[in-house]
Amino acid sequence: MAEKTISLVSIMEGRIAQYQFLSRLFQREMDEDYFTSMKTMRFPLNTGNSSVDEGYRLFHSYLSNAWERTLEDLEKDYLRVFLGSNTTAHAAAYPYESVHTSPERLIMQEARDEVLLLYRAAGLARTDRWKDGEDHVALELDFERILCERSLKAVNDNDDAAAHRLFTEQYNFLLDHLLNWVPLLVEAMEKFAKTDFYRALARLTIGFLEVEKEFLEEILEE
Amino acid sequence: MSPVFDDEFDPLADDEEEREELTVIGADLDSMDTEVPTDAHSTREHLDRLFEIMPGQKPVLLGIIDFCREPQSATAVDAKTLELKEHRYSIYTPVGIRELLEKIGALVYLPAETVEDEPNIIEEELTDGENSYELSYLEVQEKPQGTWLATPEGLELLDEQDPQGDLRSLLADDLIYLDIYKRILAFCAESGGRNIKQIDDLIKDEALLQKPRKYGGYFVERLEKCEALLWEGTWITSPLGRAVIQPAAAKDALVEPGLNER
Repeated sequence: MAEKTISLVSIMEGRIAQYQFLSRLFQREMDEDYFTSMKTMRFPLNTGNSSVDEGYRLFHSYLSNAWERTLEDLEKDYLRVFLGSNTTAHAAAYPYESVHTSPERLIMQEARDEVLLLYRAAGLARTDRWKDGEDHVALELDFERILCERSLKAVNDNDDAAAHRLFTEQYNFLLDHLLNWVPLLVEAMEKFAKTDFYRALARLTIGFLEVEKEFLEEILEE
Repeated sequence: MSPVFDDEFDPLADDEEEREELTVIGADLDSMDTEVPTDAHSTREHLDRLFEIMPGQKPVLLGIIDFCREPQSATAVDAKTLELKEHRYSIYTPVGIRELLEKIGALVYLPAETVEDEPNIIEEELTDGENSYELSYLEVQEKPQGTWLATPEGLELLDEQDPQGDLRSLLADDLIYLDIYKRILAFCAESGGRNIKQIDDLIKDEALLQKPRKYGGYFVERLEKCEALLWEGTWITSPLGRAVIQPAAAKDALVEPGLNER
């Protein structure tokens, strides 16, 4: 049996990778290269969070049963789940915070303005490649990733004050934004998804955010 | 993967300028899905329609169905498809053609029979220096691929194919042009086949074709549908077409079955 040492650094590296992974899956349709790389991943069992376990189990099962048309199925399901392709009245699990937090279910609402201010306060601007709203779940997850990377640097630099400030920012963003609407998003995803792949993404996302909340509460108490 | 964000702070950017117009993006999430309408057409109707709109692909489609009388792997079917379509340009890839035949019910995918293996579990021990934890991971094991088999509907249509009968009908129905058909078949049986310009040149001065005006394409299309002419980079006469140009064969073909039997 292999033995690895866990430390705050390795945990944070894992968090960064997880945010990056989830952000990628929400950002755009699956492609062959990424799909191939996913088939080499290892999926943990019994993590302590039932949603995370269920998400990994579904991913593992789906990838194990892949065949020549799986990629095409995933492309279609992405469009169906997030853009409403092939659904009545284009209903979908819209991946924008504004849609889930505004009474009229519109994009580009208050939530978008809020996260935009937070990104700017953190010294971030969206790239030219990003053509969507800033309150897209992929961007919000990517924002957390960047805060994680910064906090990892602070930990490595033994800058406790900076690390604490960055952990607090992550926690606040998690509570004020991601956990404020992602539960609604994943509920809708499970309704619209035709593949277990996007059901897995829904389960893993909500489970991971729950684990994140526990982790950040614990570390901020120390 | 490159990050979505640039670490560039842009304090001069104007929020209002960036703000797009309010957009309603959809109905309430409670809206129910629509079911895809059921296809009311039979496999035969679909195939007949395909043969009508792309006669050049008929030998390819039928050749694949014939190849799949016995279960075949996707790789084998695709290799056969490439062989069959060597001279027949198509926007469809071998995979696309397989999907098409599956969609219209001419082929069916048979998943591989698999024994439910125990998942591949990797054990790992983690330690924080004081305590140890055991973690298990699942690894993806790809399953063997299934096979492709022609459906009874697809085979029925294949076995009903009667290019000799179709050619007989063509020549009987178009009897006035029998000599033109024979000349084209004879012409395309020589010199490794002919192009359409050469065929047009061959018959353009025929008095019979001046009114109503008929060009080479009229005859080539009909002969191709009967598999008397094949496209192999040039129009070339098939063995079936060659039988027509045998002495006395064409005339007899109008009344006797079995052109190849003479």
